[in-house]
Amino acid sequence: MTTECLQDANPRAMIELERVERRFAGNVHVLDRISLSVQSGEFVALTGPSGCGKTTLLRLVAGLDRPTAGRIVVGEARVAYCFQDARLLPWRTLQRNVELPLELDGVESGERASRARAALERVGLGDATDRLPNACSGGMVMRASVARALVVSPDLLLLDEPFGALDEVTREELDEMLLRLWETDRMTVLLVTHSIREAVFLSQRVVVLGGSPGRVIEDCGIDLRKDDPDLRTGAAFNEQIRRLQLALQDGASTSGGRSDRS
Amino acid sequence: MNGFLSRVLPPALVFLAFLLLWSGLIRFLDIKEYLLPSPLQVLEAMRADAGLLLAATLRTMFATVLGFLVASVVGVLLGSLLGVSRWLERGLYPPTLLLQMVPLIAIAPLFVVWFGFGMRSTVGATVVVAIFPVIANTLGGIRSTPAEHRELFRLLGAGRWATWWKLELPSATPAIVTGLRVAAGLSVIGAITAEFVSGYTGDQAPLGSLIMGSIKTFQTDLMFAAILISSGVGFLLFGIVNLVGWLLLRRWHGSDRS
Amino acid sequence: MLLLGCSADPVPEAGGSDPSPEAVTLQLNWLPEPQFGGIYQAELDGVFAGEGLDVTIQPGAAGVSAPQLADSGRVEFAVVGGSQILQLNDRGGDLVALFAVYQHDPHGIMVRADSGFQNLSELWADPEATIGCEAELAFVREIDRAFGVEDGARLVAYNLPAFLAGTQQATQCFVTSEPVALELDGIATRVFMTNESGFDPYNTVLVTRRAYLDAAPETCAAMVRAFTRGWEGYLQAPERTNAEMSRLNPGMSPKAMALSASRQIPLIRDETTSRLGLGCMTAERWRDLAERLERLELINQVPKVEDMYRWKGR
Repeated sequence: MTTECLQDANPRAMIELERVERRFAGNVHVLDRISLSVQSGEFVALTGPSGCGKTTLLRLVAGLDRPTAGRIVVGEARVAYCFQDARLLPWRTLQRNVELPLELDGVESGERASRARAALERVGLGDATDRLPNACSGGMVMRASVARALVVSPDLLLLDEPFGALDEVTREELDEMLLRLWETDRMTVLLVTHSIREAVFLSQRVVVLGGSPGRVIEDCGIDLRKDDPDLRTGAAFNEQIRRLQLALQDGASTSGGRSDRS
Repeated sequence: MNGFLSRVLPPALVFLAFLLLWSGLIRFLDIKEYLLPSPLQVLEAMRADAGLLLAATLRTMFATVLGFLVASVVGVLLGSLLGVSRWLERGLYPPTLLLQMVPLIAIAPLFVVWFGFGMRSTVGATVVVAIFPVIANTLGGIRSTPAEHRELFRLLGAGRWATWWKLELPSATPAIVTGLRVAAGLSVIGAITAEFVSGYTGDQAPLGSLIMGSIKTFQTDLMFAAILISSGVGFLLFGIVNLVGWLLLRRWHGSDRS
Repeated sequence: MLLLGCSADPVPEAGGSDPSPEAVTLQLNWLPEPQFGGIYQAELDGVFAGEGLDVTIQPGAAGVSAPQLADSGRVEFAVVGGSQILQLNDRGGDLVALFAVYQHDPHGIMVRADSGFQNLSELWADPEATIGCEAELAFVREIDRAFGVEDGARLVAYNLPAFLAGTQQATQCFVTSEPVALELDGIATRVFMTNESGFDPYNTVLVTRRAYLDAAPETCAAMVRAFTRGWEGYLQAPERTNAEMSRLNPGMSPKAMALSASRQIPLIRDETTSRLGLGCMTAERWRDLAERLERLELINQVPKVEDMYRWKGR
């Protein structure tokens, strides 16, 4: 299996970033002229060392923040966002938490309830719909957060290190869940993670940010058979991880820039 | 059973000792009846004037509860209004504070001229006294809504009303409950104080008027009885608010353990 | 010869001036007003000093309980209402009346001059009427007992601004006080005097506690003499004392003082006082009062009234 690196962006892009910059007060320069294009239906992982601006980039796409320079265009899409901390409202049951986006949209209560229950079912929480968040484990709470994102049937799903705070085993379980969900729904996904392993497992394309301020230092397709149950132990998988790790290290030591490797 | 005893026995013993000390002091120092009645005399006054005290208590309780409810609802609304913008808060907070500082005894007679006698001005005075902690705590609770949750709501496209009703109020509930606890105690004080100057006297008298009247006729035993009952009303209201708070917070927040 | 319980000074002789005057405190139950005119007159005319007394006159205020101050010994003398003496004594107190300035009760129920009420009975029966009064006071209870009906007038807390605003149709008053103030403000009123209904306790009564009377009888006698001369002087020519009282109590002008002083004369001086002297008291009247108070359940039992007062050596 070979990795392929992308050439020009496709006109049917879901997300388009043109020379996006983000500076904060005190002359903190976080993102430096990022240009990126994500197609409809792609699963893209965004990775890089801490502080390189991955979360900032995601927030800019989500509209939670505005760029200091450059342009962001997001296509006609229902957008859903999963925070790093699950952000469930502590006084609502899981079901009522998942219902929240629908509630705010004015969806009528019977339909809300059934859609919320269905979403929780899909993430494996069908039996826990009436629990309060403080009675749930970290994994359960993150699943509920994903369910809340899914309940609106999003076209674009943005995830900010959703499983970062969980243990290895739970994390892998949730990764599998996410992959299956995507394979069914085929929405566009942009996942921020600092785990290259997770990025390679889940996505079709990995974008590596690096340096300070952050730049794109690698942008590679992942050409692996995701339905292989032994995927994670396979040689191709681990090779891909190694290559990306190298790219990351290089990016950290040089001042970055797009690199073409074959 | 053992747990129950260990909880009830200490305060019960202290109370008993207190009663003995009280009676003893009166006997030993030969304190006159009109200065300090004995516990038995107070009980006797309760018995002898039971009908009068009961009717008065019900009147005062009604005014107190009504005033408390109005103060709670209006207080939460005003506190929320102040939470809408810093500008509003800066403008409206000082006058609210000022209203709180004016001694009730001074303005209560004016209430009577504005609102009329009896229940109306008593409730009005109670509201004025009890509303401030509700406003302050509601405002504080809303201001401390976690920024992450606000961001979530912004992300989901929630409007102002939805944010207030579905996020700010539930988030502020622990603080509001604290404010209500304080308001409960103040409500009783406010009602009784207002009744000193605005209550019906005669056979329509509420507790406050009874207390004032018994002072004038040197019926200190009746006064003590009425005061004890007033404290009881305060305890009762406080206990109910506590219970409601516990129910709310237990279910919603799991944060209130008391 | 020192008497137990009294001050270190020797007891002054009757009528003579003493090199070291007896220091006593006299607690009034309200601010300086014509009601206490004779007392301030005695001070201004040097009558107290002449009797060997160094009197500190302490004006009263709301919340100050003159009967209790006298009974506890915190002050030697006080001026209180007649009913209060019997009520306090019924509850463990031990006051003795020495001089009754007001022979007749000065309380009444005040209505506006143009109101339709002809008498107390009509007023108390009107369900639309609110009457501002302290319903636990003896005279109010007596009126209520005589005229109160089911679904009649409502009794509310005393509140003069409310009466002026019109939310009260009637209010209790002290005949030398509220009606005078209103008259000077141009508001005409009528007063139904409670003493017309037969309830007529003494008022503005000089009292002391029994222990003090037993310990210092001469001081008490001197005080009574001073009162007599002070009041005689005030009734004759009150102007100078009124000016002084107005200085002490700026809330009442000399004009108001003069009007008030004129209104109180029939309460102080009557046929009985011309026979027995100013401030006199009789057992019959005390007994009548005690019986009425017992009927009103303001006292538990009728006491031996002869013990409640002292007059002319009794």
